Amino acid sequence: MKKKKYKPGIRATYFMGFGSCLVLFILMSALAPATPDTAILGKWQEVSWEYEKLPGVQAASLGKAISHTAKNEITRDLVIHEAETWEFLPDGRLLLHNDKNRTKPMHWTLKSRGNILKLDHGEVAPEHYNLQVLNDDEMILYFNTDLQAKGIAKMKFKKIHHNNYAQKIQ
Amino acid sequence: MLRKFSNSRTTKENIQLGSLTAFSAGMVNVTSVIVFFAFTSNVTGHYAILAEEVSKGNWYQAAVVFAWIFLFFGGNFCSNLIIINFNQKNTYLAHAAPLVIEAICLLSVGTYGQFFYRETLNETEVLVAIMLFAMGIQNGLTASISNFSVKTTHLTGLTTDVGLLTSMFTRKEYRENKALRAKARVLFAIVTCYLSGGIFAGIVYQNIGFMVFYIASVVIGVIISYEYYKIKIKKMVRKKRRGQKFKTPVMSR
Repeated sequence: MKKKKYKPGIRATYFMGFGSCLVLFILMSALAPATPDTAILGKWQEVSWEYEKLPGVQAASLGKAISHTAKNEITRDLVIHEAETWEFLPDGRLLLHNDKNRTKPMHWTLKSRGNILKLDHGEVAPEHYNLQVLNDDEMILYFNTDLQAKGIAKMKFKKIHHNNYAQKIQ
Repeated sequence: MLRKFSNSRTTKENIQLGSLTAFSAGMVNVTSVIVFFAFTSNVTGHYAILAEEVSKGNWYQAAVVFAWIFLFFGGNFCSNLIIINFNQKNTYLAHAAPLVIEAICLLSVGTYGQFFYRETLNETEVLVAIMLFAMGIQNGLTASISNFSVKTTHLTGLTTDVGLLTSMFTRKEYRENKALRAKARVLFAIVTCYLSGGIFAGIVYQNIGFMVFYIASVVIGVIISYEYYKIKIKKMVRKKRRGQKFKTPVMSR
């Protein structure tokens, strides 16, 4: 059978097409300041709790902020209950510190494209949170709750930088 | 299932191929959603996510999703490249080769997941990428050899077709059209098998974990070996017939 010959122009077009896809991928990867699994490392201080989606018209009149009592009720069965500061360690451990200086250790992993945070306590079923925003200073987690919030709750965190520690000590 | 090409295929062959591949695609997709929180058989959502991540300036996530889409495309590309280049030499081999590659991909994901997976983000991204490539290969094969009438990994177009056909069947003239009825049978078989595969994987995953991918590979293996078996039997029958023809005159003497 006669061997098919491809025109050099066609070959070049294919190489250019695939090559530009590769260049685009490299460019996008290079543009990223850090991968989510490194950006998340460190200590995060809980700043606020809000409703992302309001449960109803009544709640809309009260504003989006979730009260402390409601927050306690929502998190009652969750591993993050009463956690004030979250410390992500590179070995996959997560330390949840509360205001009474109690620490709860657990395991963290990121799923999908780095947008799902899985927290594994070992005793109960793992919990999953949607990592909506993650940058140098801010982390926003969403999670669905079927308790009082009856919708999506939004947790905002502020990163505790090492400078802050130094300033505190001074 | 695998020997015939394009318009020479019968409805029965399309149903057989479509059902089995859709079953394995459903299994793979549901397992990847459970384990990795990422879809591996439908790419429409990934395009939306890519646009969203680019607009937000999340370049790392955008690069990952871009690579996933490209790998699905790559799977389709490779599959059809093998078919169009080797179809005339050996149709069965040209059609079985993409399925062998798919089975290898699924087996490697299953084995890695079962024995080595440490749940890091990089591992997750790579395993999802391999599965998208495998699904691309499968979709490319079924679409290519069935003249674009069987697509088994994503159900957007298929649901559209089912919707159109269902509305057409409200009129008698279309209800009695054999070609349309055959198409409807193929589509319903794919939908049912995709869904059953997903449900089956969801239940089975709780007990056997990543070994679900072995079952998906076995389903692919069934398609390959069934055709091989049929070819062998046909050859044996032909040989026997030839032998009988040759023997007959000797006996008459």
